[in-house]
Amino acid sequence: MPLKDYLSALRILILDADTDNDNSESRRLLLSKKLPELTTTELDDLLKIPAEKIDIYKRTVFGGESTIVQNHYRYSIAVIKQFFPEVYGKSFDLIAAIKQLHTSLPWKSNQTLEFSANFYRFCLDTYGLIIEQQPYLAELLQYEFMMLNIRRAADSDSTLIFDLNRFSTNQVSEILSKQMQSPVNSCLLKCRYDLLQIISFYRQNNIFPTQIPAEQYYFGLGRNQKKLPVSLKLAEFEFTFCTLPQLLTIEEYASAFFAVNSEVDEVAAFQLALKRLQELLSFGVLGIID
Amino acid sequence: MKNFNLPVFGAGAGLRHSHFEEIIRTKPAFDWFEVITENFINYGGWARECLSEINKFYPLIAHGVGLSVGSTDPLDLVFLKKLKTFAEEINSPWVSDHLCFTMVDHTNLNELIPLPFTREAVNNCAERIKEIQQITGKPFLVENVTRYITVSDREMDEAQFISSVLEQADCGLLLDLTNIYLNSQYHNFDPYEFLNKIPLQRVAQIHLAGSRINDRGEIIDAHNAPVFPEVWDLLKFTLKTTGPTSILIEWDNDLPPLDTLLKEVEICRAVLKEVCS
Repeated sequence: MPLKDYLSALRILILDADTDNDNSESRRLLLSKKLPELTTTELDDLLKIPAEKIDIYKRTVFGGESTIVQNHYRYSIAVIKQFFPEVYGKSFDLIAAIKQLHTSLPWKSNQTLEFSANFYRFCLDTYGLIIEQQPYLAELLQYEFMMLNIRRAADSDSTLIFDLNRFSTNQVSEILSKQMQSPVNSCLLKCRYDLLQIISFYRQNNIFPTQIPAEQYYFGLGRNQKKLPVSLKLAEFEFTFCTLPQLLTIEEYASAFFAVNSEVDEVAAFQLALKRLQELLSFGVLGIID
Repeated sequence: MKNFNLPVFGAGAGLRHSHFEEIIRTKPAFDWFEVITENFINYGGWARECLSEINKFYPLIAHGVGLSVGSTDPLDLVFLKKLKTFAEEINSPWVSDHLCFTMVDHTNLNELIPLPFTREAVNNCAERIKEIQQITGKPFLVENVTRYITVSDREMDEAQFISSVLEQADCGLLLDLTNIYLNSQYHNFDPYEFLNKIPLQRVAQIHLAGSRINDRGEIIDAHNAPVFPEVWDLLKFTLKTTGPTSILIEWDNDLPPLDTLLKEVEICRAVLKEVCS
C-alpha cells in the first residue's frame, strides 16, 4: 500500500533521520531499508524533497513540542538546565531531548497530556545523575505533572461546597456535623523537599539553590474558585486527615487542629481551625458535602 | 450552492486562552470565535468554564488540528464521539480539520504534514471524511494546508487533489488564503489560477493570517503577524465568487492585544462590504 509507505517515510525523515548532512543516496538507503516495499517511483518522489525543507518540519515539530513541555514543566526544566552542564559537561539542549523522547517514548495520541506524561517519565529515566545530585527534581517533576492534571482534568459533577460562609445561617452544631471529602480534581503529595519554597526561591533569584536539606513536607493540590490549579503546604495532621478512607466532619477536623495547637485557648483555636479549614476549601483540597 | 449551504457568521478570530478573561469582561465586537477542539475535549477547569461563558455571547465553531484526515492509521472513534458531543455542547454549526496527516504508524508528529497528491490519498481522505461526517453528525470542512514540500504530484497537482477530495467526500472547504499565498511563494505558482481551479462554491469559511520573517530569513506559516497585503487581495478575489463568507483571523504566536485582532477583523468587514454589498 504505497500511501502508508509515503506517510511512514515522511515520519522517518522528520522524526528519525538526521537530515543535517542528508544526500539522496543516504536517504535512499535509509528508506529502502526501513520500507522495503517502496517502489522506485515512490522513492524517487521522496528523494526529490529537499533536505532543508524537511528541516523546516523538524524545527516546527520539535520546536512546538519543546514549547509544550516548557509550559508544563517550567521549573523542572529550569533545574535540568541549571545543573546539566555540571553533571554532563555541556549545555542542556531541550530540542535534542525532545528528539530523544520521540525515540524512547513515542507520542501515541493527539492529547498533549500524554506527551507531557511521557516527558515526565523520560526525565526520571534520563536525568538520574541530576536527580542523584538534586533529589528534589524528581518531586518537582511529579508536582508539575500533577498540577497539569488538575488544570486539565474533566470537571466532576460533584456538588461539594468550598465556602464555609454558605452555612452562615446554620446552627453551629449543624455546621460541625457536615462531612467533607477530597474533591476529584485534587491531589496530596508527601515530599522530602519544600517544593513551594524552592519555586519561590527560583522566582525571586532566577536560580535554584544547590544544597537543600531533606525533611518531610506535605502538599495539597486542588482547584480554586476560578477552577485554576493551586497548591499549599499542609500540616502532617491535615495530610493524614485528607488521606483517611472514611468521611470526616468539620468537628473532627477542628479536634485534630486543637490536638496540634494545644497551646492556644479553645475559643481562639476554634476560630483558627475554621480559618484554616476555609483556606483548605478555597484551595480545593477539601470540599463539604451538602 | 453557496457557502456549502452553511450559515454565514461575519468576521471572527481564533479564541486563545490569554484573551479569555478580557473577552468575558469587555465583550469586544467579534462576530464569532473559532475553538481548537483538542484544547477542550477531555478537559475541564478554568478554560472550559471560560468557554461556556464566552459561548453565551458569541457563536463558536469547532476547528481541529489532530484528526489526521489523510492518515492510514484508523480514525480515533472515541475522540470523534467526543468531538460530536463537544460540537453539540458549543452549538458549532460545522466542524473542520486539515487536509493532511498528523499521525502515522500510531505516532503523533504534532504538525500538519502534506499528503502525496495521488488517487489513493484522495480515496482514503474521502472515505475518512464521510466517516467523520457520519459520526459527528455535522457538516465537515477540510482546510488546505501550508506545505513546504511536495511529496508527490505525478498523478495530479494540489488544486486537483483538493477538488477531488471535496467532490468525492461531498464536504465543505475551509479555504486558508494565507496557505495558498505561501504555497504559491514556496512552489512558484499563480494563486489566482489556483483559486480558479478549486470549487469555491464549497467554501464555508476562510482563514487569514500573517507571518514575520524568522531569524533564518524564512517566512513560515507562524500566524504571528497581521495578514499579508497580498492575502487581502486574494480575499477580495475570492469573495467575488463566494459572496459573503465567514472569515477568521488566525493569530497563534506572539499573541497581540485584542485591539490588534479587532483591527484585522474590521478590515475583513470593510472588504466584505466593499466586495459583497
